Amino acid sequence: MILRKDKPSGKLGNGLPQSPEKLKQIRDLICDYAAEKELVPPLQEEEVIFHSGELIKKHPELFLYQKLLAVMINNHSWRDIVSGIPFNRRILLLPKCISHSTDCPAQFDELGLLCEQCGKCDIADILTQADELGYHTLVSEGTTTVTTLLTSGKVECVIGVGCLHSFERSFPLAVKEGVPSIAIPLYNNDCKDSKVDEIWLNEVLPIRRESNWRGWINIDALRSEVDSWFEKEQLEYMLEGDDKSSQISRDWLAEGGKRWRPLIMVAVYKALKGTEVNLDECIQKLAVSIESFHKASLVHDDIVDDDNERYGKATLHKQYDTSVAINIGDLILGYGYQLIAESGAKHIRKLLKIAALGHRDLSIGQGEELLWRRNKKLLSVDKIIKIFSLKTSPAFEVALQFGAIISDADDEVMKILTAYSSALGIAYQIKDDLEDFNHDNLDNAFNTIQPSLVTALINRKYPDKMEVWFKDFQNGDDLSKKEIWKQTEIREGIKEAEQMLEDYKLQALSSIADLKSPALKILLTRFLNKILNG
Amino acid sequence: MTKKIFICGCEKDGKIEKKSVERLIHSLEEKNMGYTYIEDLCGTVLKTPDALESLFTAADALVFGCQSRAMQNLISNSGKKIHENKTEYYHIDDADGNKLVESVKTDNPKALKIKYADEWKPWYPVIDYERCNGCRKCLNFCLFSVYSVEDDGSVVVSASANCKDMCPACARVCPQNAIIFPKHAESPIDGGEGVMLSGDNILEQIQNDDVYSVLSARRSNFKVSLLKKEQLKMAEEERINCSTKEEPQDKACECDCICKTETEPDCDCKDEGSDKNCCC
Repeated sequence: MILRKDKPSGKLGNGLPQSPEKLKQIRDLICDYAAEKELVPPLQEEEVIFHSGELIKKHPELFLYQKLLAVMINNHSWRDIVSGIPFNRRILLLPKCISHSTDCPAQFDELGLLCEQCGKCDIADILTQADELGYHTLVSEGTTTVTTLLTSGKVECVIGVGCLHSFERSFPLAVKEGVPSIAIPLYNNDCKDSKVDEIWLNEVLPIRRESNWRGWINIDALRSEVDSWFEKEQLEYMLEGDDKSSQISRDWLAEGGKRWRPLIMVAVYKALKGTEVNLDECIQKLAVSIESFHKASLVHDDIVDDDNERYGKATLHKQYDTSVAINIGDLILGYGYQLIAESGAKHIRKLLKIAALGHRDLSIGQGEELLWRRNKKLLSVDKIIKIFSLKTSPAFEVALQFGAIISDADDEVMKILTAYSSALGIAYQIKDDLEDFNHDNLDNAFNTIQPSLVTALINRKYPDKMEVWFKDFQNGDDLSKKEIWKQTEIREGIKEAEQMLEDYKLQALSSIADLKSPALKILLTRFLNKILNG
Repeated sequence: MTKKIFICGCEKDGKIEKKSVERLIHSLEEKNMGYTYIEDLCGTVLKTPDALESLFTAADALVFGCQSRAMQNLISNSGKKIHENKTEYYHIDDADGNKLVESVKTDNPKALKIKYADEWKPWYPVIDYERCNGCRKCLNFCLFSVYSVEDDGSVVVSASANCKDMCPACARVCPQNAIIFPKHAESPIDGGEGVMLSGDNILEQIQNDDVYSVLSARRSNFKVSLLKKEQLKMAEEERINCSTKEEPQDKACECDCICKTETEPDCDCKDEGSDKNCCC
C-alpha cells in the first residue's frame, strides 16, 4: 500500500467500550478481519488507521472506537511474533495512574513506581502474575521511561498498558524501532485511579507458542562481531601479501568507520535465515568484500576532493602521495572481487554481477558530478536527485542484495530492496546536504565541489537572488558573515529540502510495506531510523 | 513596623490542618490584629487575581499557608506582585513564623476574607524559576499541553486548567526538582524540603547497558530493600512490645491432672471463687 504523506486526522473516534464483554467482542471481530489480510508488522500509523477505517465500513457502529480498532489491529499484527518471544525478554509496562491516587505508599525512582504490594490497587496482582511468568515489569509515570526504553534499540518486546492518549505518543517510537508490542488501553483517560480490563490483560500476558521467534537482531552485538573481522590478523589471513602496498591496503581496511555496509549484509542474512545462523568464513569474506569496495571509493574520493583528514587521521594521499593513493584504491577494489571469488558462496556469479553493477553506477554518478564541476553551473533539482541516487544508493543496495542472495531470497524481495535502497540513498544524501546548510559555515553548502539540493531548490524558485549570491560567493565574499542563512529564501529552500527528506523516508517505508518476512521488515525499518537519525 | 498578614486556608482539598488555621486566627484575634483570610490561594491567583491586590501591593507582608516555597513561587509567577515589596512566607505550623506574629504590628484590626467560589479544584504546577534550567522535559512529558515556551525560551505553565487532578508526574521527571504542586501530599513535590529518590541514573544505564539486566537488578534491589524495611518494622514493633508488656505469670498449679493436656478438662483443681480450672 502507499503511505500518505499527510498526517492522519487527529479526529478519530477515541471512545472505549466500558465492559470487558464488548471489548472481547471487538477483539474477535479483529481476528476475523485480520485472518483475511496478511498483516506483516511493523505496520505504519497510516496503515493501521487505514485498516481501522476498513473495519468501520463493515461495522459502522464501531465508528466511535476508531483509535481502539487501530490499536487492536496493530496488536494483532504482532501477536504471533510476541508469542514466540520468551517471557524473560518481554517487558510489561504499567501506568502509575492505576495506583491508588491518595493511599499509595510507594516511592519512586527515575523509572517509576516501586510497588510495595499493599493491595490497594490492581498493580500488585498484575505484577505478581507477570513476575511468575518471568516478565520484567515497570510501573512508570509517563512517557519519559517509555520513550527511553523504546528508542534504546535494545528492547525485544513490550506489553504496554496506558490510555489511548499515551499510545499516540509511544506508537510511532515503537514502529521506528520495530519493537514487537501489544498495547492494552485503560478504560479512562483521567490519569488517576485508572482501570484496565484484566480479562484482556490475562489473555495477553501468558501467550506463548512452543518455538521461539528468531527474528530480533541485536545490532550492537552484531556490529562488534563484524568489527572483529577487520582486525589485522583476520585481514592478513584473508588477504595475504608481505609487500608494502598490501600492508597499506590492509591497514586502510582496518581503519575506523561505521561499517554500515557489511553490517547491513549480515543483518539481512540473519533476518532471513534466523538469528542463530552461523557466520562462517564465506560470510566473513563477503562482508569484507563489500567494505573493500566502499573503502576503495573513499581513497579516491579523498584525492578528488583533496581532503586532509578521514577518521581523525591524515588521508592516504596526504600520508603518502596521490600516485600511491590511487594505486592503493585500485588494489583494494581488486580485493573486493577477489574475496567474492574466493568466498565459496553458492551464487558467486550473481554476487559478482551485483558488485560490478554497483561499482559501475557509483562511477557513473561520480562522473556526472565531476563533469559538472568543470563548468561550475548550478544543477537542476532532478539532476541532483539523480546524482544522489547513483552515488549513494548502490552502496546500500549491494549490501542489502548480498544479504538477500546468500539467504536464497526470491526476486520479489530483490525488487523491494532495490526500491528501498534507492529511497534510502537519496534520503541519506539530502540529510547530509541539510547538515551542511544547518551549520553556520556555508562554505560547504555553496561550494562548487558538491552538488547541493538546497541550493538547487532555492535556484529553482529564486533564480535572480541565487545568481547574485552565487556570484558573490565565487568572488570570494564571505557569505557567512552576511548571515545569509537568515534570508527567508534560504530558510524556504531548507524547509523544502526537509520535506523532501521526509518524502523519501516515507517512500522507503512504503517500499517495504509488502515484505512477507516480518524480521526483514523490522530490520529495514530500524536501519532507516538508525541511518537517517543516528 | 506594621505588616499585613495573609492566611491561606487551602479550602479546596485541604492541604493544611484546619486546626492550625483556627489556632493562628485565634491568636491574631486575641491580640486584636488585622488579617486577610484567603480561602484558596491557588484558586484565587488563577481565577480572580484582582482580588489579591492587597497582597500584591502590600509593602510588607506575612503570608501563612502551605510550603513557603510553593506560595512564594505561586505569587511571583503571577507576575502581579510589586517586586521591591517585602513578602515573607511561612508554613502555617512554622515555629519561627508563629513567633514572628507575637512581635509584629498590623495597622488595621479588621478581618477580611477573599473567597474562592469556583467548583474547580485548583490543581496545577508551579515552576520554581530559581531551579528551572529550561530543559523542557516537562513540556514534552505532559500529555495535556499544560506547559508552553515563551519567545525568550522560558518554559511557562500556560494551560493550568488542562492539568489532571492529582497527577504530579511532570514534577517527578523534572531533573531540577523545579516543579511544585502546592496541593500534593508529599515533600518535595509540594514545595517542601528534600530531594526525589534517585535511581543511580537508571535511565542512563538503560541506554548504555543491557536493559534486561538493569531491570532485573532494579527489581531485586527493591525487593531486598522492601525486605529490610519489613524487618526493621518488625524489629521496631518487637522492641515496643518487649518494653511495654510484662511477662505473663506462670500460674500453673502443681497438680498432675489431665487439665494440662486436655482442651476441656474436668478436673478437681478448681480456682477458688470461679468454676474454671486454676491451672489452665
